[in-house]
Amino acid sequence: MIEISVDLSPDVISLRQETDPGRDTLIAELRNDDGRYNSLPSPLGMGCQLDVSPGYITSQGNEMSSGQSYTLEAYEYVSKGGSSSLFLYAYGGWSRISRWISESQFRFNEYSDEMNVKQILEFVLSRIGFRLEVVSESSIITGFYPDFTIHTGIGGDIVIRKLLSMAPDVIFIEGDIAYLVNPLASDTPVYSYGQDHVVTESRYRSSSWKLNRITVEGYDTTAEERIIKDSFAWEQIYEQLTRTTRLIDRNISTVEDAEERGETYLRNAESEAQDGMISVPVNCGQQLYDVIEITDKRAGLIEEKKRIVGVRLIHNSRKGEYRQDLVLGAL
Amino acid sequence: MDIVKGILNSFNTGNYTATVQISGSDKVYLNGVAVSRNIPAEEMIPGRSLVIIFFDEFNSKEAVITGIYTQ
Repeated sequence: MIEISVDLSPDVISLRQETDPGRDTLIAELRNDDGRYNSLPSPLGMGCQLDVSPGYITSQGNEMSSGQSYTLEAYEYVSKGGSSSLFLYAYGGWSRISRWISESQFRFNEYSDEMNVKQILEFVLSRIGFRLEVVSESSIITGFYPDFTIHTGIGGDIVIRKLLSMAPDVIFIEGDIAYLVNPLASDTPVYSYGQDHVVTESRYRSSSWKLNRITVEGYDTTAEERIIKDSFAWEQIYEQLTRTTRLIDRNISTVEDAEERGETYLRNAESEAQDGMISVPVNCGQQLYDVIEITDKRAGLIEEKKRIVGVRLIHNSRKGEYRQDLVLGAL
Repeated sequence: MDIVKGILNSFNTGNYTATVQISGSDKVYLNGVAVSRNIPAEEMIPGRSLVIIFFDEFNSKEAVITGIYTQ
């Protein structure tokens, strides 16, 4: 098979790339003042692959890195104020996942431990067209074998989210690969901002946790009785009184599993309570869930560790903009 | 909680569970689905339609057949 490609880079007027957990989109605007895109050049067309390779100037000169891949799903001609542009709208891996619908019913671990959560995840992702690669993984995702049924007609994103809710692990997608990450508070930063790499704009927000107590209910099949385990975030309870939720999962069969699940939920609540954003000159190597270090004396931050939970690449040649907004979460 | 339609494939009077075909699935069955004890065993005739409640749609052990009917 011969790969056919066309380089659109010289005609890109603006571009917006958004990568969040569960969502990745691309909007690119191409100049069309002279009607050069009145008919789309081959192979540009609906369903084609769009590769975005952001570049930057380093001590080595002009460099670029291979970036995300998208699928073109719409284009639009826009004329205003004497100018004419072609907008390309494309989606990434998460959209592929959410558009996938299970065409068959699958049941795992009905009689014995056949596949752990990671293996089920791998199974589902492979059906959608992704390979799973491990950056890091928890012992829960490899050691938990739930009785798990995927019904016909259910969406891929719902299945993936359900599987990931059983473990502290997360995934991010690049191209046709889904990367599994177990975010830990002890993760070391991969990059620093605020000193050599300047922070042009920032905001850091701390909120109380949406959840500070969770009651997890499982079922011990041997003893044939319910398991109930509470997990608490006491400091948050002292500050905000209890904000409780209840989770029932019959696949949880031990007190330890119930406690682990509860702690995972509390950890997510903690992470969501710390959000923020920094704008920086583009760093092509920055990936979702990377841990970074920020020094921002205006906000009293010295080598503060944060986790990246969203990346926006924004380019607009009319405004002279070329920046990255990094959405932050707690470790 | 989800309520789905199904078709009865077989019924185990011993442990009051059934093998069912969920509406929309083709040639695939779910085994060991609990049947509500208020349904008389003689009504559990293969081929009849079922009302199935899933307390957890991903866990068939959290499902119970609450009704059986003909159309």
